Parts: sequence; structure tokens; C-alpha cells
Amino acid sequence: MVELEDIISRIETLKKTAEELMLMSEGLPALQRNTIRILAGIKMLELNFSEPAISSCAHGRMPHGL
Amino acid sequence: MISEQKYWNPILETLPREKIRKLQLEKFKRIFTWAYEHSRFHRALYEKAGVRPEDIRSLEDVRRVPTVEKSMMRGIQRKEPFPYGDALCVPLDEVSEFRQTSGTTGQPVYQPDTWQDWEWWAECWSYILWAQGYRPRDRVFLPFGYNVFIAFWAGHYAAEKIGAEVVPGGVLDTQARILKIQELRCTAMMATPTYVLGMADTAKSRMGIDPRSLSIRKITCAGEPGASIPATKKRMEDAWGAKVYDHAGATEIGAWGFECEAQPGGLHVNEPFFLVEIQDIKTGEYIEEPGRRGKMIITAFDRIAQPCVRFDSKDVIEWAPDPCPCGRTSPLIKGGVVGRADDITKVKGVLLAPSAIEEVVRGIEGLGDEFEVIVDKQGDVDRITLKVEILSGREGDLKAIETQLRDQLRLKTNLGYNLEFHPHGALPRYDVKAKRFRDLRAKY
Repeated sequence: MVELEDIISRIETLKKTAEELMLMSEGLPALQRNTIRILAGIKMLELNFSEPAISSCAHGRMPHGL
Repeated sequence: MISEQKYWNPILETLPREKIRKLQLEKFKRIFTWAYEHSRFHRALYEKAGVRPEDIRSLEDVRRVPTVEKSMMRGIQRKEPFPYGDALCVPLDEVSEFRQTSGTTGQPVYQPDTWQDWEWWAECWSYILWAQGYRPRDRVFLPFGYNVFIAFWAGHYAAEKIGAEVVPGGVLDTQARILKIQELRCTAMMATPTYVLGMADTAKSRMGIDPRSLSIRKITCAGEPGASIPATKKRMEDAWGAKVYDHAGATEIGAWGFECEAQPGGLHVNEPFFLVEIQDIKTGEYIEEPGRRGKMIITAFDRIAQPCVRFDSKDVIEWAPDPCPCGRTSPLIKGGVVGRADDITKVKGVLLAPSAIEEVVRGIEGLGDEFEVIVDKQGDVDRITLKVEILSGREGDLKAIETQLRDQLRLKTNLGYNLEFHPHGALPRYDVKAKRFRDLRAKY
């Protein structure tokens, strides 16, 4: 069984990469608009896997941003 | 195999109660802070009430936050940023979806969504469809008009998301839709209870097709409470030879409730995404225990363009006493949405819910699916007229059916009725939400 912490860690990596892509997207609509969709998908991963962790440990915190 | 998995996400769906409550509190704080900081409408409302984000430390504190009613949203819209006005929390160019309420109770309310909101809609619906047995092997038919109303739009996207094949039956008429279901051997369908029954009637009476002979084996209903009314559910399941599941949602809220495959006689609250509170309609007291009805106050935790924070939905619900045998830890709403606070009306001094009449009419063999209720006055006294249809071939049983109908209505609603019997097919038919209840007393 995969550990939840491992899933959360990889979601954080995905998000960091997507946010870096957003910073590079000025003048590139195809990069910006597709990355926005990817970030929305990553948000759904956070809702499903990163956020439940905050109820499971005393030091858990919500992922940044809504 | 992914299709054999019982839950869409076992981590959230079986989370122990104390953990889901902790999660809900954190998520409430976040959306409340978001609305406070980004919506001029919400900020003004909360400042007037003297409540700030740092005041929310427990789920009891949530009750200090003022509720929002649909009429308040009507008042702020059709202004800049056009057309959403002061509740819009994101720049206009981040809005990617427009929908609006049906306007049944007044001027329609506009609902903006960002792409993330739209993903969230589909995510909420994915929980619903998976719980109702939808899997990637399903071919799902959607017989609704794809337009400005939310209807089954998010069901469409969720069916795609879970990997099912979607057949959009948008502009086809009812007979063409039935033929397409037959041609493609669709396995599942989503529609209002009114339309599910109407399609079955059309297939049988106009096309000579028994809907049971088609391959539809599960149907998701929304838009009306019928799929949680036992007599209506039985009629639909008998007509189609399919399992019928209820779902509750709304344009300005989201997909908040659903029946699972266990058909427990109630709706699961989609708790990771929504906080449901029940408030006594008369006293305003909050209801924690099963068995007492009240109106639903609901918060959607993750919707950002136009937040839904403590929205007074007017839906009348009650908690069920027991957890669902399916293993999901979310509580059940017993019997689904049983009515609306503004629908439940006093007639001759007695509270009358139209859903109670529906349960009686649909429970009597020999009566058609359609009916109409008209409340007016005869002199100073309230009068209720109930129009029903006698099925073809059952005219000889009219006397017995009338007696049964009168007795059941008296038993279930404590009221007497002026009954009108019409031939099958004489009353109006509806493609989406039916308008079967009319209160004309204000005209007198």
C-alpha cells in the first residue's frame, strides 16, 4: 500500500513545477492556459489527499491558496 | 482493477467523524476568510454582524456567521463587475463558466465559476457516480437540454472524469432519445424523476417499446425530490428495470448529497466538500439529533468565484438516526429533501408538503404518474383540488381508486381534497422540473 505521505509529497512537487511553468508563461498562451488547467487538477488532488492529512496529525496544515 | 474499488476515495469517504469535523472546521475558516477578503458583499455582511475570520475557532462559532439568501444575491447582481456584482471574488477574466438558477422563485441568480470551480463540480459528482456504481465500462446517456441551467452538466464532466463514455442527448426529442439509447445500448442515464417517468410513458404508449427491454440499469435523478419518495422511486425502477438513485444539488451550492448503491432511504452528505447545518424553521434553533425537520444551511468549502457560505437553501431535511451500511462515514439525510421551507404551506391550518401528495398518488395502482394540486379559496375557507389521471383500462375501478386515494390522503396529510379524475394523458407533461403545485389564495 502506498503511503499517503508519499502521495502528498509528489502532489507538492507537481504543484511546484506547475507554478514554475506559470511564471514562464508570459507571452505563451498555450503554456499559460494549459498550466491553469493542470493547476486546477492538482487542486483536486490536494482536496482528495493533502487536505485529509490535516485532520490526522497535530501539525498538519492546509495547502497554500484556494 | 480500478472498477472493483468500492470508493472513489476511501481516505475521505471513511474518515472517522472526529477527523472529518476537524477538516470541515479548517475548510470553513479558509472559505470564510476568502469571502471576507475578496467579496465586497460578504465583507459588508460580516462587518455588520461583527464577525471576523479570527472569531471562528469551533464549528459552534460558525453559527455566528450570517446566512445568505437567494434574494440577497438577486439584489447585488446585474451590476459591475457585470453581471455578477459585489460577490465576485476573482477577476472577470478568470471566470470560465456561466450558469443561472431557474428563476422558479423569482429573478434568476447568476453563477460564475472558474475552471478550478468547474473541476470541483466534476470532482463532487465523481464521488456521487462512483457511489452509485458508475464505472469506466458504462455508456451514459444524458437526455437534457445543454443550456444555461446547471442540470446535469457536471454529471457529464464527472462521467468523463471517472472514465465512462458519455452520449449527450441534448437537442433530440424524447422519441429520438429513446431510439439512441436502444441503438447504442446505453447502460446508465441521468434525468429528473418527471422526465424519467415521461420517457417510459412515451416509449410504451407511443413507440411500443418496453423501457425494461433497453439496457439502462442505473438512473441518477436530480432536480426534484422524487427519487427519494418510495412510491415514485418504485414506479421508475419498475418502468425501466433499473436502479434509481437520488442526488441533491443546486446551481449556487454544488453537488452536496447523494444516494449510494445501498439505497439506505436517504442521502449521504458530500462532507469533504460541504458543511450541512439544519435549523428549525420557526425557532432558529440548530438541530443535531435525528427525527426533527428543519431547513438546510449549507457551505461549499472549495468554490471560489462566487462563494457559498452559510447559504439558506430553504430545503427541508432531517438527519437519519443510523449510519449507512455502505461503510461511508458521512451522515445520511433521511428521505432526501422532503420539501422546501417556502413550499410547505398551511392549508386549513395544517402544514402541507407537496411531496406527501406525490407519495400517495404514485403509490396507487391505476393512477398515472402525473397530478396537479391547486389551493384556492371557497368563500373564506381553503380548498385543495387534486387532479389525477386514471390509467387506460382502469376506468371501471374508479370508485375503489377514489376511496383509496381519499383515505390515503387523509392518513398522510390530515386534509380533505376535492378530487378530479382525468383520462390518461390529459394533464400537462414536463421535460425538466414539473410545476404541479399552485397556491392561488393570494389572488382572493
